[in-house]
Amino acid sequence: MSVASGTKPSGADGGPVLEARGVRKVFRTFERVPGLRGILKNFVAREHVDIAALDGVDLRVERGESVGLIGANGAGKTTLVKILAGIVPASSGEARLLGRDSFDLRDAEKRRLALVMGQKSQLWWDLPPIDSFRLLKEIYGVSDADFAERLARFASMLEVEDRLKIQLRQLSLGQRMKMEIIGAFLHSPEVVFLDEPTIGLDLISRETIRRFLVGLSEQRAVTFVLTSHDLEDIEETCRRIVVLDQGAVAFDGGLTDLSQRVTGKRAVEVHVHPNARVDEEALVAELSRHGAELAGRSAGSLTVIVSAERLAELVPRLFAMLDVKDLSVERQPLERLIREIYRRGIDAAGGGEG
Amino acid sequence: MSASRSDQPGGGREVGGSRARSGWTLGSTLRWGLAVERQYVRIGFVRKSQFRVEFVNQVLMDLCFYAAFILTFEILYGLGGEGALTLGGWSHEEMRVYMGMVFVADGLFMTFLGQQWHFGQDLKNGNLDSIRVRPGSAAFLYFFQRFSPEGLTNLLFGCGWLVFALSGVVPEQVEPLTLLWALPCAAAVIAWSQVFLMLSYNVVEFWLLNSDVGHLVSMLVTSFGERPLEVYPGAVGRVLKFVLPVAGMAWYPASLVLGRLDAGFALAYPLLLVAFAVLVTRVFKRGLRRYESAMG
Amino acid sequence: MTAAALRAPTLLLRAVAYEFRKRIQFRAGFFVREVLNGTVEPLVMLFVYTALYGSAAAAAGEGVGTEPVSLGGWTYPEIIQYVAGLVVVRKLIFHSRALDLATEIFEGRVTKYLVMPFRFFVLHQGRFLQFTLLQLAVAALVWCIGYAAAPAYWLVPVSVAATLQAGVLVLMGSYCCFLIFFILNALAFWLDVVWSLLVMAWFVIGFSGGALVPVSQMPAAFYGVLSLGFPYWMITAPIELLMGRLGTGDFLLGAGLVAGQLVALDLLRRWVWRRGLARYVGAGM
Repeated sequence: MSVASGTKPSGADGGPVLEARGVRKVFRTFERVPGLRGILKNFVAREHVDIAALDGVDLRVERGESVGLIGANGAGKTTLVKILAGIVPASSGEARLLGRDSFDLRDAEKRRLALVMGQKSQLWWDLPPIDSFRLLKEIYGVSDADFAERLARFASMLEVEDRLKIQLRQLSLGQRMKMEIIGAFLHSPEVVFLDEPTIGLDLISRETIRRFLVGLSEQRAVTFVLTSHDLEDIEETCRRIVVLDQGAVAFDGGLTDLSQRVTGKRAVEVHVHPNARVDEEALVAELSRHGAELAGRSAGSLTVIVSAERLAELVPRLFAMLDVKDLSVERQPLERLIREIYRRGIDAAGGGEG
Repeated sequence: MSASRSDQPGGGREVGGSRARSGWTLGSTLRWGLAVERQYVRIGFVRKSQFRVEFVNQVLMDLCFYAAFILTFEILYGLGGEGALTLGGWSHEEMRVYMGMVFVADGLFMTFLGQQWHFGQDLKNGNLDSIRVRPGSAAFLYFFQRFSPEGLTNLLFGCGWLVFALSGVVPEQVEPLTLLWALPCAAAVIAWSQVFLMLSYNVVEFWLLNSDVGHLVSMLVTSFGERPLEVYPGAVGRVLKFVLPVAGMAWYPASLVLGRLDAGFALAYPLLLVAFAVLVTRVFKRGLRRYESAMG
Repeated sequence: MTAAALRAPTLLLRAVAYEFRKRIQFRAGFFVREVLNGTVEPLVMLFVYTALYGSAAAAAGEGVGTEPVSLGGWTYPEIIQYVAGLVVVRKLIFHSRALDLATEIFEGRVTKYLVMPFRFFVLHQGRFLQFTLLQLAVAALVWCIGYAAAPAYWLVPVSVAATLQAGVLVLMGSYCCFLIFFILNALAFWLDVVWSLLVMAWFVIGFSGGALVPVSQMPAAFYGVLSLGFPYWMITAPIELLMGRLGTGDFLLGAGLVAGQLVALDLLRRWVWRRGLARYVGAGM
């Protein structure tokens, strides 16, 4: 279900739609000292600390690309989106959108841009969404005919036709998010930033939103940057994945590239008798001889990661060394791989595969 | 489903208009501003039709302010017996006109600029994100977004008081024909001053986040401006005229209508207000660079 | 039993410390909100009165301050002292911005407190106590600065007893304000916006207490009505006590009147809170 993209030449003027070169963002805060003395110290003589939310990010996104931005909490995803969208300036480095400094966008560029934030409503909380949409229509200068046509189409695609005239605050979380997405797409933007658009939503709402995004991408060469903690969102809507870790790009590549790494690895779940004695030192040594590693351990089971090619030689050794009750082999889940990327960097996670 | 022609990327721009293709013009910007403001007005009325109690409360709130203000000066002027006291050279009748200008200024502020009370909090909570990505002036989109029908109601009350106050000076002190040009000029100066003074109070928040300094400065300057500037020592009066030109809020309009200004000053002062507006707008844009949103 | 009895005061003290910590998180904001708050109106009032008395003196053929021109029973030096007293007294009066209960109700943040084993109101009393303790220090500081800067004009209390009496009246009045603001905030259970009510309440309290013109300088009819309300005993009367214009008999009368209104407001506060809580549904869907 991945998005068809790249059907048009890159950018309006042939250049990238989005570009970050050595982007750093440093936030200054102060360390709060606990206790009564701390309260006074915080008030009188604060110790400021600089926190680098982004530390030299390089990124280039061509027209029509769908980029999934993933990373742990605090990895810098939202900050990067805000810099690229021109909401906040970079502390150093360069961020460009549609060929122009992101923080210095003119109205012409802003009309080609949209932002959806899962955790922050951009519509009026105590008004029916239709009223907010009419305001957006004027802000973006959308004609009456286009407004009516797009609103009807989007509302139908997102299955909220009968909710347009109900106060936003009286809608469910999923319905509110669908309204946010409609509001963002009314002016037919070329570049869309979606910051955790499915956060907290139920499965059906998530699927509807993904379908909507994919549908629009297939029709038009919209450039998407999507951040999400839900890897299914990314898998189903993006071809390219950028993993941020501690403010730096830990992986940047196609989904297929990542998938190959996933398919190239196997997770072997070995169930043993809970009281069975396992010589862990010898086991780890044996595993390393087969290019495998012990990824997890509980009282009754062990998880071993090994490349697909060496699976056949390892399994008999596991039966020989352990009192195996049961054994299952699965592809290494994407979540686990991403976790490893966070932990050790892509080279280690890839293990030379792919 | 195939995409319609207008659904091509940038479709909004094409239809919206002409503005993007032909570049910026004052006319197109004004048209755009009026179209957006019309929606803000509509939204204001829609909101208030939902919250009728809020509407009544806010009308009453401003009426309380007006009543306290009027009573204070009626009591003060009454202390010396009829016609015995002046405030910095302003007679009781003139002071009533001055109060009328204060009420009109307050009504305009409450009608169009009520959002400014939330600016510090919105900066802290990162609520300017959506404004930053939209076309058009961020200051306009943000500060004008909360149109208040109750403010408009109170503006009408304020105008009513002004008409009553003017009846005390027309025709003895002010020619009726003078009002034909002086009142529109006074209204324009009030509106202009309110917008840019408000902006000047709020830019402070960019540098001193959640400090309420803007709020304090606003209260301080507004309270000072609500009294004739002649009551203050010379240096304070000059600051209120030429540095933070709060004189544009009530003093200049009232003086203009009452014929208390010499022609040179009357003509030059609006130029100062324009220069102030340019300066404040630039500082606001600079301040936007300090906006950090909220950590996500 | 003892543990339960100790829990409320302990919680109150913790709430005080917590609120204090919250207040000083933003330093400039602390200075503006807690130190400079309430200084604007008296300052403007000072200029207006100077112009007014100047006009009266000119009409009488005298200069400001050289001849005791009296307006409504107040001479110019007395008005200066009143304004000085007002600056200090205003510091101690609880203001509506010090409570954010309405926001907590709107956003459903009250829920977490309702399942905890204590009275929610104690936390707000903690806020009042923290405000009062802090503002007592600020008021003392402001008085010292004012006295050091202008000892000839500044208000010096006539006696320790008068200071204590004035302090008691101001704090009782401040608690009445706290209760009124709590009640108005609690109306958020019914209304979508309450800030206008809070602002309106302050306009009424400020005017009827003497924040713009001393109540005793107002026409007799105004004085007759307003001197029955706690705002008069919270602003004008304490300053007059400090100046020696009122005595112990007045203090006792005022304390009785304010105590009655305080009890009535507290009963109203309990009733409104109970009724409001019955409507509370939290927030979010």
